[in-house]
Amino acid sequence: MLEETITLKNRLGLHARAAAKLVHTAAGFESKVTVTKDGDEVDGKSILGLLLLAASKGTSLLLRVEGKDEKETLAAVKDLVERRFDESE
Amino acid sequence: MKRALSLMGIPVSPGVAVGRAVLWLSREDTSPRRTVEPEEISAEIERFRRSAESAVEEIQNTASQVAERLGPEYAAIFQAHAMFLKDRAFLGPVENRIVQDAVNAEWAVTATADSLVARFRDLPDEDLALRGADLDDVARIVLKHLGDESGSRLKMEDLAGEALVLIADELTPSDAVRIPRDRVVGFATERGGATSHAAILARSFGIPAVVGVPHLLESVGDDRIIVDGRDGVVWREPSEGVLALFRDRREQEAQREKSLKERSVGGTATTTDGVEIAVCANIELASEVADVCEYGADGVGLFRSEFLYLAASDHSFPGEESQTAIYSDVLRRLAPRPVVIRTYDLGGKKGARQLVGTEELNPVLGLRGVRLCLARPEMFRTQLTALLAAASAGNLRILVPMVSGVEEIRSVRAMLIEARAELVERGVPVPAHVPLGAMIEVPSAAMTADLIAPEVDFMALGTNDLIQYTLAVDRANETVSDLFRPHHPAVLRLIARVVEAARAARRPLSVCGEMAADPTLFLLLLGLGVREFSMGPRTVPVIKELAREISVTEAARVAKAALSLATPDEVWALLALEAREILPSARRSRVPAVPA
Repeated sequence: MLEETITLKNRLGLHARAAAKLVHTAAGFESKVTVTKDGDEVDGKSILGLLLLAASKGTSLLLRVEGKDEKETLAAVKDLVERRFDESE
Repeated sequence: MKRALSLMGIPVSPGVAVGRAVLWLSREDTSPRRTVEPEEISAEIERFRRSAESAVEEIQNTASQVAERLGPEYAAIFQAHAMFLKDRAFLGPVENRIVQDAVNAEWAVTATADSLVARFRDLPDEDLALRGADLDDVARIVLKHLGDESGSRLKMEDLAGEALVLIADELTPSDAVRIPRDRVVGFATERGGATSHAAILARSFGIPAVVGVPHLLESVGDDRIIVDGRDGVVWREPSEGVLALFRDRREQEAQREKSLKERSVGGTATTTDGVEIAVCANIELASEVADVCEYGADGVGLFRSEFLYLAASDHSFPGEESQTAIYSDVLRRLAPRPVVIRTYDLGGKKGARQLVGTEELNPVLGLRGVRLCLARPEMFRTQLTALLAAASAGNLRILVPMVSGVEEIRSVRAMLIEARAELVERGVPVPAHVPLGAMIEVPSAAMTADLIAPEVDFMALGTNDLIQYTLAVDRANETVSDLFRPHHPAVLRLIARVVEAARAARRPLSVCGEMAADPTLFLLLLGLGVREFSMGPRTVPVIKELAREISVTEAARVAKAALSLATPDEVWALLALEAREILPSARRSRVPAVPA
């Protein structure tokens, strides 16, 4: 099991388009992914769960990944967040 | 049959639509609850799963259609919708309700969606709270697939062959896209305004629409109706006489439009004394590119790029790649015609409260246009880079809005140089020269046009805002809207001044406010020396026709006389008189003209 805290850098935070991209990325891997904000834990492959976290820019999220491909999964999700979900700001 | 009735609203898309009204049912009609026998429960779960799957299929089809018809920026939200339907956080509770409460799938779906929507509504973030409406939309599609009548939006099979006019409370982007263009000839909504989705889509599809019609839904059932998109009237069960009148008008309008279009596409407009006039189109959606060609515009005089931001369902700026793709597509399809793309003109009243960051007391005089862009350099730089990257696809010109002086132009030029350098380093080809222009809409820019002209490649007069700022009249303020007069002596003098500055510096000048589309004011502008115009694509043919029937000499005489008058009323009286003499009767505007 791998764990890492990441911070949202894009202006709109975990809004619909970003959440969709996260689900899309996580869904490509076998490992289970959970995202926790202030103690609320949701399934990283659930768009509704992610949206209801209402995580805005600057929020720290705890990523937990578990499974055979956990290293790749964590790297992919981290990268997406660092890239600001490919948004311009 | 009900008695004849007429209702007033806001006309947002011209034309006349005659047809049978079809009610777009709202989700407030809840699905009936039915108890399910224990032995039927697993079958019910199966039924739900199948419907969810076909709903996903439908949404994905819609997504590709939307991407094709309206551009990729609209399609993203449908992908999120499809995800909702694969999310255990939705599917799980529905199935649990079916099992635990022994209820039918329709009821389970409705109850689950309602509770999720309520949770979204409680979120502090406004944008996220809107996601509730998306979830509603998605639930509706599942209900439709479950064969639930109250979920189905359109019982069109019942009305085979008839022309349909949609009546609704409001239209959302996903609704509007599912409208089959071959059956629907117009729409009317109870809510909404000039910039609501219903308005934008009606104009994009070229069908008449009237919005903001109080009591529409309680007054109109499946009656015969007329939607008058010119005067903003909806007629219920019109008498034969009224019907005949409108049918005639529609015939005439169709005929006239057809021949005007043919002549417009046929070639550029030249006045009777041999002066070539450019008549271009103002557009905002990539989907309007087809209109540019269809209506014979000489190019795009204004592409309002902020629409990419405003139309995106979650209000975000597309990244560099998406922007480059959109711009390249437009440029390529219109090449070699010139396309003027105006950088983001946000702030003021254009939905950018989030961008500015604080509540402005006077947004129109606040952080907007190029000021906002320069205050958000990353966002602006991305746009500039995308524009330059797209430039080789066609004939691009970049226009900067809300310029108040030379300094802003210099800042933009500096950013363009940096953006160009970055692209060169990345190996992206950029044409040697991409013209940069300034929008002259702030009085300080008009007054110093002689200083600005030498520092730009072209100028575009934004008459809507120029008039507003010069006369200190908020055109959206009903208490002073009749003071908003394009023919005011101050406006005439400012325009003349800008024309002169352009001439002295030998720079092209165009007028791209809606003033250009009004025949009487067009005459005046022509007389003041303007030779390039840009307006909504559908008004291009009329103006081109007009240009071919008058002479610049005559127009100049009228303008000179107008400049000598002291009050707007005197100016209008003169223009009305001259227009009667010079302009063919079919094209005279109605007095007084207030541009949209």
